[in-house]
Amino acid sequence: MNELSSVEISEQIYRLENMKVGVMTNPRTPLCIILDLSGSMELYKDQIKSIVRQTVNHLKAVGKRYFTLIIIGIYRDRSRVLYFGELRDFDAEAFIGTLPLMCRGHSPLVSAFRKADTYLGEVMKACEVSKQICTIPFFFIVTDAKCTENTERYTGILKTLSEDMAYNRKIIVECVTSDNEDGVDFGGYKILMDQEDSEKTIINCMKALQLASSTDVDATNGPFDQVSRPPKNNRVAYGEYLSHILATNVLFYFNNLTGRDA
Amino acid sequence: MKKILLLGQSLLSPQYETLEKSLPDFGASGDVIMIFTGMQEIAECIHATNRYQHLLAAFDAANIDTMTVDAFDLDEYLYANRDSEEDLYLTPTNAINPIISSVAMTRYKGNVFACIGYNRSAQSPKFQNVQPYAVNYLTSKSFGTKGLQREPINNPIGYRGLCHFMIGDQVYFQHIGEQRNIQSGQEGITFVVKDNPKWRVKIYDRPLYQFEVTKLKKFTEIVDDLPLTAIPLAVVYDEKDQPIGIVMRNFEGETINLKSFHQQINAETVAREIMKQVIAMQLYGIYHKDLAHNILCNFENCLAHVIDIDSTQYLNYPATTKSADKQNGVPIEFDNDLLFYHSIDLSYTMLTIMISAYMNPADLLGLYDDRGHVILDEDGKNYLREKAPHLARLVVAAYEEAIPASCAQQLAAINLDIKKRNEDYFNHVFAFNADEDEEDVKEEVVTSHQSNKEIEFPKLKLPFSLKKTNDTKKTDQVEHKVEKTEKKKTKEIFDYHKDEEEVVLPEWQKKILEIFLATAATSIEGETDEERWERFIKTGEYKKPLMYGIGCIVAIIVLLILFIFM
Repeated sequence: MNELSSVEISEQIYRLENMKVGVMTNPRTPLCIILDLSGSMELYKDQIKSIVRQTVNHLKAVGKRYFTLIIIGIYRDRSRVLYFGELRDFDAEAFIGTLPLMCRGHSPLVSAFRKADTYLGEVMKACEVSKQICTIPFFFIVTDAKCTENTERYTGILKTLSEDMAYNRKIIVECVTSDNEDGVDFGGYKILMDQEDSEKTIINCMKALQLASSTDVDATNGPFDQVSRPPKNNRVAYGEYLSHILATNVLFYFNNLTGRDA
Repeated sequence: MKKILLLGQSLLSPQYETLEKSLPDFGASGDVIMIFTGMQEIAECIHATNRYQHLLAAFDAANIDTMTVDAFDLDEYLYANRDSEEDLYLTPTNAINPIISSVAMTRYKGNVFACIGYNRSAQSPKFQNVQPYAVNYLTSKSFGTKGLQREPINNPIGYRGLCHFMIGDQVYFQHIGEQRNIQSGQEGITFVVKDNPKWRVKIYDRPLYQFEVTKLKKFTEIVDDLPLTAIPLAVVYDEKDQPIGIVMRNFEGETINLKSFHQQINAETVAREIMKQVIAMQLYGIYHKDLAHNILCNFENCLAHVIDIDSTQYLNYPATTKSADKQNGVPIEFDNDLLFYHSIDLSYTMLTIMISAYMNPADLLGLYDDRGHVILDEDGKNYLREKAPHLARLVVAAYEEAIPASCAQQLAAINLDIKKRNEDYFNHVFAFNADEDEEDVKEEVVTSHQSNKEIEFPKLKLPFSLKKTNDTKKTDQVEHKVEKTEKKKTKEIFDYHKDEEEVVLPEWQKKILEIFLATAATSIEGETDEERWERFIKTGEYKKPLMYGIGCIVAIIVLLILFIFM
């Protein structure tokens, strides 16, 4: 399992900042996946692979959109950045092949969240520098939520996630288990990994995200005065506009395709 | 400090439990709970008065301040405060899409945070700002009901073979082909279950979509909560265990006819029962798009039953049929077919039903003007003001000023009008029957007010009869002219201005219909000849045979020409 160094990550950020951006440049959506590969996840290795595979395959099919993929793995008591770069350059099968044969260790989810937040922030800042339009990120958490750290440490994280969901700053999808009464509740869209039809639910969820991300479903000016699409040269307003569409579409398609409410 | 609006659906499980868990959080933050006027009556509609009282006590115990707002419903509140830009929080809801529709249609400018659950780790309620969604709802090309994934999940075998369903622990089998008294509908066939006339099976004539099947299964979870409504009791499966239909309660009654509803005895009371049922359905997340054709009335017992529930919008599942209630005169600013059906549209449908308890809506509601608002007939308005002054006030505001009147508001109005009618009757009784024991009559009227039941008219010596007749030209009906305006229709909607007499089809149309009526697909129970002809033309059933006929004639002509020249 290859862990990226801080130098490699900085190089990726540098590339983003210096990307040549023009009026025809497609917008960017950051995408972060936290993969819990600790000992308690041994039963769900197939689901982990399916999630990675389906996420990548479905989002790669979205046209006119750049995705920056960040994968943070939790393994042997540490959180590590396993991938940081363009989604189109990512080989899901090769990556799955590098995953450990056995899940091991504890679940330091707090440090993984902090890393995820930091890097997502850096991607969005890099887009500001390069003037590329950027939407709110997708944030996947794949875990059985059986945290092994002091639960008080999660309070700040959960408060942040809760505000992110309330104000549509992130689209949070948690792939968890149904028996997580004692586990952490992240407050996002839920997929249960331990159900019989989990594979189908995972596929439908990713399909929902694909449809939601497709710029074919973006809104046009309607018959009512207050609705209008901002001009593309207003980068901030247009990015916000695209983010709202993304959040709205995820809400609709997630329920429609998975049969589950948020 | 947050201002949190208490929604009626928060009195239902599991929203109620989520709200109870959230109270310490609200108390600690010094939040204020805003309660609708008439919340007590709303709670009565869903038999949740105890829960409501318990909740009020819980607010006190948690030191949460409450205040009553001058609104009966969320839409009314949003519309009245649409320019405020204040953040508004809502108590837990069972369906977020109708709320987004309401925010969109009322143009509320502030953020609206819907409570979508409870985070047990953070021990706080989960809120989501739905304001950003409202804009997209209005304008997206494929968002909303238009963007549904319509992938069929089954291959129906048609109206034959064995079907089965499970209610409780028992499985029931029915042989479709052996049923008698099969009735055809727009979506398939229905028949009463053999040996159990309380149930009716509906078999669809088309494949079902996944979201439909999920929706139908969710309906079965609330069957006991709405006993007077034809909620699906179970999903029906064919021999290959594919879902092909539903089984529901079988109700008998007269299908409501809005043109002549007011001529029925107890029309007002039945209208009130319909309203209570619709409010209860709305709180459970059911929004019916075709009420005007799907209410069965029992005027003797003052009961009403709403049917055809399976195709309605339920929670976050859209309706499978388009809105047929387009004759409700909804102002153009609230009309949007792409959205999930919302309570403003529903309220206009209910308004026409309430009007029909007093008069033919066609005598009141005219065509659309240039603003996209329905023009009300002056004489009709005066008549309604005389018969039902509280309802009339809402009607005028709703159509002329486009100020929606929520279902709860209409219920309060009709309660007041019934009360007023009872009081007027009492005054008559007291004035003309001095030799009667006035205390007995007075007590009966007062008791009826308290129980909100209609009093039974005693046999009294009156100079005139109060009993309604079936005579359309009653003396108490005002003669008036319907103005045929030459104004350009901004939106064509009404055909209520058809003559009251049924149109007689010419013979040639009848002959053509006879040929096609042989197939079940063409015949729908209860349809008039005129409606059948319109549908026949609209669906284009004549096209295929016509093409075959023309094709044969051309082929014969070509053969003849070839024969002659060869």
